[in-house]
Amino acid sequence: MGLQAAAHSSSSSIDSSNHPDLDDLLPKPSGSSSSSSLSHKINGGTNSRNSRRSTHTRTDLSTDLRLGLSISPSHHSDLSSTTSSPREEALVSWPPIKSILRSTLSGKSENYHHQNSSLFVKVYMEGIPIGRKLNLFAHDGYDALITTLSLMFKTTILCPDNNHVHSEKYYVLTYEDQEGDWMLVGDVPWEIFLTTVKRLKITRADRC
Amino acid sequence: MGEDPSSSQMSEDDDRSPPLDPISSNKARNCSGSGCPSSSSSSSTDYIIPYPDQVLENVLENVLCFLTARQDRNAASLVCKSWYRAEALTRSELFIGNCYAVSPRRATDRFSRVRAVSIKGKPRFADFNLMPAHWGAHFGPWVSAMAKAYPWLEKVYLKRMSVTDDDLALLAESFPGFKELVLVCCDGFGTSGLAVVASKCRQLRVLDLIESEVIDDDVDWICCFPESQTCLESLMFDCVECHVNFEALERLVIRSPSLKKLRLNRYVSIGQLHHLMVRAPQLTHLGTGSFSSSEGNAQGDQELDCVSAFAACKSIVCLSGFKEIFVDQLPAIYPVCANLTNLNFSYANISAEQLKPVIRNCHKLQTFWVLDSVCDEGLKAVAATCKELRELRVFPVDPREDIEGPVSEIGFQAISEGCRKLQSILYFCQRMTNEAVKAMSRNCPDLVVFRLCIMGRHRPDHVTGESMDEGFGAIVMNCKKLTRLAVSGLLTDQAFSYIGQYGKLVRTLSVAFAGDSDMALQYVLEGCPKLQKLEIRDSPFGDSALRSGLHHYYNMRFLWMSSCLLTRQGCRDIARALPRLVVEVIKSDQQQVETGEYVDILYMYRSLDGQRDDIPKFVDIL
Repeated sequence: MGLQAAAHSSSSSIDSSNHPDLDDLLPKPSGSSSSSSLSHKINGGTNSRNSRRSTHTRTDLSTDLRLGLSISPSHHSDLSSTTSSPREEALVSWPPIKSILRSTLSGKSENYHHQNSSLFVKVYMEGIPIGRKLNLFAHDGYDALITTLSLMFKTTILCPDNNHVHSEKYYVLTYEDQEGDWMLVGDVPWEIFLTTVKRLKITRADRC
Repeated sequence: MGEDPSSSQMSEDDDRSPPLDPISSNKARNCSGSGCPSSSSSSSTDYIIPYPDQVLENVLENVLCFLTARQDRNAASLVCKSWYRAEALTRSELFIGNCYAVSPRRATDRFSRVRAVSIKGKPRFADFNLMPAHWGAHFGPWVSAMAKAYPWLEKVYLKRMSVTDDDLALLAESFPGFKELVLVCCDGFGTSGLAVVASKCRQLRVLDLIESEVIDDDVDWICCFPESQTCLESLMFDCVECHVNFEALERLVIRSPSLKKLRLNRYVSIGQLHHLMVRAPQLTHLGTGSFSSSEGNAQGDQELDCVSAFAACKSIVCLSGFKEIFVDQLPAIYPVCANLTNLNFSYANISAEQLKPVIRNCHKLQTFWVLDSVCDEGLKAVAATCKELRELRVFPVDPREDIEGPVSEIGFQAISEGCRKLQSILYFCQRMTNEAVKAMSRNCPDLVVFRLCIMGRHRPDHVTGESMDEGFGAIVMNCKKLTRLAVSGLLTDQAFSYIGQYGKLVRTLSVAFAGDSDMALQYVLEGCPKLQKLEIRDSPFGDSALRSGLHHYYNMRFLWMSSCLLTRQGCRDIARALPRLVVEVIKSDQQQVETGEYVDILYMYRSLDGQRDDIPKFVDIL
């Protein structure tokens, strides 16, 4: 599961309109495929996908969660071959339904708000009063989490397995657990972390 | 629901205006590439020179105040220089149909006393993920220019613009008398921006967010309204996908005695809705939020008597919401059905049986949006009762292509037979016949907007197997008032020949997966003199078709062609022939190395100020 998936599947509060840096990494939300649909017209056959397909919309989180979070546009990943929903062959841009309506309706039928599919926690960064929300279930480990947060807050966050560099230039990630204690992220296995984390905070490395 | 009918003055379909053009009357109005001199813009700043007919000038200004329609004002401004000046001084509502057609500076230089501004940005196909993100349409430059030029600005209406929180902050700080903010299909801002507007715009009457994407910044914007009584008349936030502080909302409603329009988002439960309705029985427009119980509260809400709350709201004429409808509660709305002119069920997955008892009472209904879950049978019930229906939109619950589909030509024809006053229809379906479309063309001669979306690409008449040419041909032939048309299904060049021959009033045309050759596009470009907005995707039209419209492009607001057969050179030829046209070639997938023979997206539009200065990497201007 790549970075693209992690970054893209976070809560709607990150999207590429807020973070131009993400542009290079996120699949672009455009679904039309030119030559394949024309060949469809000429050949009269069913539409065949070409490699330029991108299936993501910013609001189409339900698809992300259900299909295992990513279909990379530049190479057909293994995921796309294992999920055989009919929507695979469809264009995101056709029929012409606005994303808002599409995702609301599909979200309803898939129980989008079901507890098991997401775990949103708040993340604050030292010095910034407004926090953001992040879906931890959308990440497969600490690396993905740290990368997403680094992009979200546009700063360097040290990985837990690096040697701790105590410097004011860098930040580290801490979390509050169920007992109210603040811990450095990375000290427990990821799965256990998910069960104890309440919220996250990015603090300066020299404060730790 | 979409644009409020009362703002029809600003609707796209009303646009018949020539370009915002400072050229005075003794030059040709048609910018036919002869190089309209930009020096004429300097004459618009010379207001101070004294001239003899001061009295007549004053009379003129006073008379012009009564001229409100922008088409009339544009005409008046062309009479002579003094009329031009007087009109520029008295225009209070500014409409910018394409934010890149004119620079903010030019607009604010010409019109100095504007109170209301309406700006449209991205082309409509951007709604369907055809346009890459960050293409443009930034509100920033506009709000900066207006902050200096229009201190008395009261109203801003934006459609498909990119608006940041900083833009909203600047707006809130710059206009002390600001009254109305309407954002339709906008994005780029969040609850922080809303908070600034709520707290600083003390005269705010209208805050309408319609189909916009609002970022959840965790800011409680509802709390930011002033503590005293507010002037709020309309608050629409049904598209805002984050929790609101209900206690604060309730207090806000209580201290907003003028509140007539309230659209709640899906985080408001039916129990909370009940509380609010009791506080605001004067509402005329209500968006009901989720219309179901909040999660922990299922038992309590079942005892809820919403019927009396609806019965107490005797003025409700427009009802929407139902975002997560708990159908058992639907009978609560019966008391208001008889008065409804506007009902939006487009988020309510209900069956025909569930619809019938509601619709049976809606005799006055003029606008109805619904999901196809009601099936042909539900549509028949609509046809039986809603004799005043003017606008119908039927959306698909399941927008896939290769499924059976619950609505078809049967419901469509029933509507045409029952609702003879129909003016506007948007209909998604899997199956259609030419017969049914022809029937509608005969039964509903008042049709102004006809948008039929047969979801399967290239799908023929499912009874005869023929193309849908004859059906659409009948529409353009028989519906003499038609100004907006969207076609679908299997269509040959013949369909376009009909459109070119009979569609003399058509201003907006949407084409997808249709036509056989360049001739189709040529028929349209040569035959439709009123064409303003043309959006085409995935159709086999190439460079020679594009060339056939050279005589007309300056009269259009824009042309969009994606996934067609246009080459870069073909687009360049157009750019060379028409210097006042901005020809944008857009790559739809940034990561793709440019190898294709054909252009992904062509988006071109006339502009008085040439190329924009904010083009992203994936856009080339030829």
